[in-house]
Amino acid sequence: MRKLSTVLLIFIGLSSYALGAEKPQVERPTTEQETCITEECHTEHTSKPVIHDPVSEGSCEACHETVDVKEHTYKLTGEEPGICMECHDELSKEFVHSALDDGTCNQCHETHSSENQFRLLAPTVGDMCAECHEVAIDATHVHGPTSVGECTLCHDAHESNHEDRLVLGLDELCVFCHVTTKEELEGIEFVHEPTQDNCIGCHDPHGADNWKMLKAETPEMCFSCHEEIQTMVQASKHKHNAVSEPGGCLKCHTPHASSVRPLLASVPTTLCLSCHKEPQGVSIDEVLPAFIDQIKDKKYLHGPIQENDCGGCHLTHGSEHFRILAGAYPEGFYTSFDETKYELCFGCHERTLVQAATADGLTDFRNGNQNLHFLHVNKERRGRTCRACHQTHASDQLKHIRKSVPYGGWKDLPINFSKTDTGGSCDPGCHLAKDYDRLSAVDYTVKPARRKPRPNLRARSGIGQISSPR
Amino acid sequence: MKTTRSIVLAAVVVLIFSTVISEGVSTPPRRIPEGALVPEFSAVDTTGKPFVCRRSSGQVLILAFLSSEKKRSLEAVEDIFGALSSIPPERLTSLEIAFIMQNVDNRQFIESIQEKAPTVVHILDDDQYDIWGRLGVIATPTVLICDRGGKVLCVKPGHAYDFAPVVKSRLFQALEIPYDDGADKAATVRTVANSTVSARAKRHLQMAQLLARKDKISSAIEQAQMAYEIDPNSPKVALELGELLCRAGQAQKAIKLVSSVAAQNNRDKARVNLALGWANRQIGKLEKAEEFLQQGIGQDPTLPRLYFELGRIYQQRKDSEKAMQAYFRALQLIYQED
Repeated sequence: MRKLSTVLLIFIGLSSYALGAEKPQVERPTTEQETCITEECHTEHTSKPVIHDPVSEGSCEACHETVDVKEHTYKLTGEEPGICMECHDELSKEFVHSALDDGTCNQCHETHSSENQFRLLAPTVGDMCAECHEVAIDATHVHGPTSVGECTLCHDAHESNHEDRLVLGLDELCVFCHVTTKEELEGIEFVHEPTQDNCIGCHDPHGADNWKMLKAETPEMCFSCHEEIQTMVQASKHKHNAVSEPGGCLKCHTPHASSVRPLLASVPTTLCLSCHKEPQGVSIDEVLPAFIDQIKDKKYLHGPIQENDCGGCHLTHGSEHFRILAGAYPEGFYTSFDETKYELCFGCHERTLVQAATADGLTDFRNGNQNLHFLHVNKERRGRTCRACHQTHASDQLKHIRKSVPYGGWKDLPINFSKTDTGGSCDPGCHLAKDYDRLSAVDYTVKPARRKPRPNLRARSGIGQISSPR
Repeated sequence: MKTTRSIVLAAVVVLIFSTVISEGVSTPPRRIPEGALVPEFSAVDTTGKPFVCRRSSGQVLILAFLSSEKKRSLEAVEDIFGALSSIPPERLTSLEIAFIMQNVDNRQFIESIQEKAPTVVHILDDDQYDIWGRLGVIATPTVLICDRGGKVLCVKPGHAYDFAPVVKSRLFQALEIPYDDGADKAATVRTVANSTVSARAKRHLQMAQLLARKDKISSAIEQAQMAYEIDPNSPKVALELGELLCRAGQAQKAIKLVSSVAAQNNRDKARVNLALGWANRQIGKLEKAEEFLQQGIGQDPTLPRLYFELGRIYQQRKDSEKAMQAYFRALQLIYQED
C-alpha cells in the first residue's frame, strides 16, 4: 500500500511538472480588478493575432460575471449561442447551420483569440468546413470555390433563407459567376428546365469525377430524368448507336438552351452529317454508305431533307423499323398493298393518294382523273412500293423520280421518266412506254407501239429476285 | 436556200424545245413558290361562315393545310397559335386565317382549335382536294403566309426544327411588326456557348472579384491569374489582375503586367495609369507615380482610387492639405456626392 502511494505521488509530481506547475504560482486576486488580462494573468487570451474585440479591450465583463470575487470564481453571463447574440445579430432566417442549432459557436470559433481569420479553429474556411463536411474529396473535377476552400462564396456560414444556406437562390447563385451563361440564356427561347433554377440537378456543385462536374456521364445523366428516351434507346429493335455511346446525347443536344427544339446543338442535317458524311458501321455485318453522297449536288431534295429535318422520317433515338424510320415502310420493290405498311409516308402525305382510284387536286400523277399512284401501289399482288419510282432522299428529276432502280441483280433498271406541263411519260423496265395527261386522258385500251430495244441500257440479269433498293 | 434556212430554223426550234422539256424548265414544281400571288378562291367554313381568299383584301393571310390525324399537324397548330399569341392583340384584326383539312369529322381536334385559337380561325373542309390542288400542296402540315397584297411570303412544309421561329418571323414581317429575327436568322441555331474563352475568363474574373471583396487577395490573384491565362488579350482581365497585385504589394509584377495592356477606351487607359501610379508609389517612385495618376484623372476623373493614391503620395510628402483634398474627392466619388 505504501509502495502504491509512493508511485502515485511521483506520478502526480511528474504530471504537475509536465503541465507547467513548476511555474511560479501567481496569487489569484480576491478583489475586483480593472481587467483580467495582465502580464501575469490570462495572457494566453491575447497571445494570438486575431482577438475577440471585448478581449482586446479588456472588457471581460462583456461575457463573464463574478460568482464569488473572494474565491475568484466567475461564470458566463449567459448560455451559447444567446450570449454571443448579445452583440452579434440574432439568427432569424429559415436555414441555420446545424452547429448553431446545437447551440455552440465555439465548434468553429475560438472565443478569445486565434491564429486564423474570424477566429476560426482551422486555418481556412475550407479546412474548418472539412472538419464536418466531406465534399468532393479526390474528385477529378473540382468547382473553383471548393478547390480554393472558399465555401462561403456560395454558402452562408451561419444562416440563410435559401436551402443549404446558399447566399442566393439557385436561380441567381450560379449565374453570379457564370455571367456568360446568364447573358446568353436571356436571348434563347428554349431553355432546359433545370438550367432555369436548378443547375445542381445535373452538376455537383462541389466537384465530381465526370467532365463538367456532371453527377453522371451522359447518356446516364440525361436518362435519370428522360426515362422515356432511355426506354426507346434500350428497347428499340433498331438502335441508333450514337445515342448509347459515352457522351451520346450531347452529340446532338445542347444541355442548357437552344433557339430550336428540342435543344438541338445545330441544324439537324448538320448534326446528322457530322457522322454520316462518312460510311457508318451499323453492325459488324453492315456498313451504311455515306449519306452525303445521296444528296450532294442533287437538284431536288425530298421535303424533309430540304427542311433540314432528318427527324421527319427517322426516329433519332431508336425505332422498331429498319433504318430507325419513324414508321413502317416497305423494304422491297413490291409488296401487297396494306396501308399500315406505309405508316411513314402517311405521316405527311395523304392516304387517299393510294386509296382513291380517281383524284383531281390531290396529285398530278393522274391520267384524266385516274389516280396513277393508286394504280401502281394499291394491288393485292406485286404492288409497287414508293421506292420503285421515287428516290427517297434526293434526285436530279422532278418529284424525286429515279433515273433507274435496282431490281434484283439489275442495278440500273431504267425508268425513263419525262414530264410535260399536263402530264408525262415513262418508259421503264416494268412495262411498255406509257404517257399520262391530266387534261386529255390517254386511252390505255389502245395498245402502244412496241418500243425499240435498247440493248446497252437493259443488260438484264437475275430478273425475278426482289431486292431492297435503298 | 430558203428551204435550207427553214430546215435549220426548224431544227433549232426543235432542239430548244426538246432541251426545255428534258431540263424540266417548263414544268415547275407543283407547289406554289414563294413570291407568287396566291390564287383567289372562296369557301364556306365548318360553321357556315364564308371565307374569301382575295389578293386585294389588305389582310395578311395564313393558310394552313393540316390533318387532324397527324401528330406533326397538331404540333404545327400549337406553334401557329404560339406565334399568334405573340402578336399585339390589336394587330390580330389584320389577319385572315384558314385551316384547310380533309377530315373535319374529328370533332375533338376541331373543338380544341376553336378553344385555343387566339383569334378567328376558319376551318375549311377540302375533302375533294380542290384548294389543295390549286396551291399544289403535297403534304401536311404546309403553311403559307401571304402579305397584304396576296404575295406568298412563306411556304413552310412539314414541322421541322425551325417551324416555330420561321412562321413567327414571317408573320411579323407580313404584319410589318419590327422583329429582331429575320426568317434567315430564325432558321439558324443559337445555343449557350458557355465554354468559350470569354465565358471561362469571365467566370474566374467574377470569382476573383468576390474573393477580393472578402479580402482573400491571394486567392483572388490566383483566380484572376487563371482568367488572364485563358484570355491574355482582355484589358479587363489584365487590369483586374494588375490592381489585385497592387493590393497585394506586388508592385513590380503589376507594372510589368499593365504596361502591356492595349487599352482601347479612356476608362481602361485611366485604370492602366492607376495601376502604374499605385505600383510606383509602392516602390517609392513618387514623382513618376503622381504623373501616372494625374494622367489617369485626365482620362477618367470618376475613378476614386486615383485620388486615394494621389492622397497617399501627398501624405508621404507630408503635404497634408493636398492629401486631405485628394481623399475628400475620393470619398465624394465613392458616395457619389458633388
